[in-house]
Amino acid sequence: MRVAKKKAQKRIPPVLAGLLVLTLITGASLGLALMWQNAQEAGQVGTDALSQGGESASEPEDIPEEDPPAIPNTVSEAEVPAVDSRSEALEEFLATRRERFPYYVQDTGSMVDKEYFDDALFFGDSISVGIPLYGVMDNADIIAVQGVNTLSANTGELVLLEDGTRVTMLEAAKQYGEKGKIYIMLGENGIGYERDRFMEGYKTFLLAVKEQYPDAIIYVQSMLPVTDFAHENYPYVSNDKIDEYNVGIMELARELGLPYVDVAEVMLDETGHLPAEASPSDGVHLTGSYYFKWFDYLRSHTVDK
Amino acid sequence: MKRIRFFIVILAAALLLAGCGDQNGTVTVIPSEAAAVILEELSFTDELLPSGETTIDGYYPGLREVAGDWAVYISGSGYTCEEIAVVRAAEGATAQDVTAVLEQRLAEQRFRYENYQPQEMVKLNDPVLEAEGDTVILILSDDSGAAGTLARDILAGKK
Repeated sequence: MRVAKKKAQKRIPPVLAGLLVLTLITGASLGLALMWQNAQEAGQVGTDALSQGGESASEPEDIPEEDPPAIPNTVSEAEVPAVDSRSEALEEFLATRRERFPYYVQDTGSMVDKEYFDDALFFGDSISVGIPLYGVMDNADIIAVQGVNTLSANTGELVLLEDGTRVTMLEAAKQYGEKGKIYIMLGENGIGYERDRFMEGYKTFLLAVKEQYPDAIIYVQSMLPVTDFAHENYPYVSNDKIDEYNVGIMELARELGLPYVDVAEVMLDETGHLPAEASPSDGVHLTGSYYFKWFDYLRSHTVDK
Repeated sequence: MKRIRFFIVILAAALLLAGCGDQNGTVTVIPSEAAAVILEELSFTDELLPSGETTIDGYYPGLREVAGDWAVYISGSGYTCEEIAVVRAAEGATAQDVTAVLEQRLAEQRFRYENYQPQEMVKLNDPVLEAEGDTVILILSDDSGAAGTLARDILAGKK
């Protein structure tokens, strides 16, 4: 009797067993699905905080509206490696080099605040294109065009305005209104021109800038050196020639009564080249850490009007 | 026989549950995540830097008006035209509106690079520009074949 009862309890109809299992699996799956959905929604908020679209602008206040953190293949200020302090050999090299550049803005021994650049405008070529992207000076206005040289800077209609028209760099600068400081770095793309033609174009541009900004401090920056790699790949570019033209730029600036800022000196190594790590891509265009060197130099080399 | 019936029931349940995962077949692409995948899986010669709130207007005029969410990475050196843009259209805008903005950017880059770095025109004349639903992906890289496949996989929800 006990055996028969036990046997009856053990036998559950197969269809009922199947439905039971189905119910259990369904319940468990729905539970997991709900958990997954909650986790995904939580992750969505975190992801929006890293994106830059308009929807994320209304996220909680603690979400920064600035550029997102860098991810692989990118650089950010936090990741910029420290640059070695100057060696004695480098100091010797620079002392010799300075004899060729007697008229340059001296180190003030301190750095101006970032706010100094609130009313600054930069004119430049592809090297200056990186200024806003690297975030080295996001309060300044930048007019930079890849490939522009000391001749095309005057007449080339290179800048596209919002209304679809193309205008010269100086014309485009008018959209930013009055400026207290103008920084100019041009020449790298015109190094193939004969010196007289190069300087003539640069002089025309500087005179036009002076006319458009009569009350501004107009800083004329040196061209930057290139690496050994650039020497090998661009036969018309050499650091001797760049410095030869830099001497001309310095003399031109002096003639026009403008301060010459020898940024090149902070970019050189003891062999007179741009270090390879400063421009691994092509030997000319800078990586992030050297943008910061550049702007630290500008902050410690200023003049009063 | 009973065991077979039992497994059929289990199989039916599994199939039923699997169907719940994709109710309408749409894929939601999160631009920042998609851009991260592209940066990880493709090789770029340049440093690609994020263009955020303070700089985007200079590179992609009009993007804010049509984009609900976006991630844009641009060549830091300016030596190459390498670039990534993953954009989801805003409410009231379409992928076509977004594509028009990206095409405008491509036209400007062609203008700038034509005489400056002519070798970059290969990328600019044959860009990866893929759209699906409300999302558009633009990739300018040396390997347009791999970039195209990756963009399509992302838009299909396979990445």
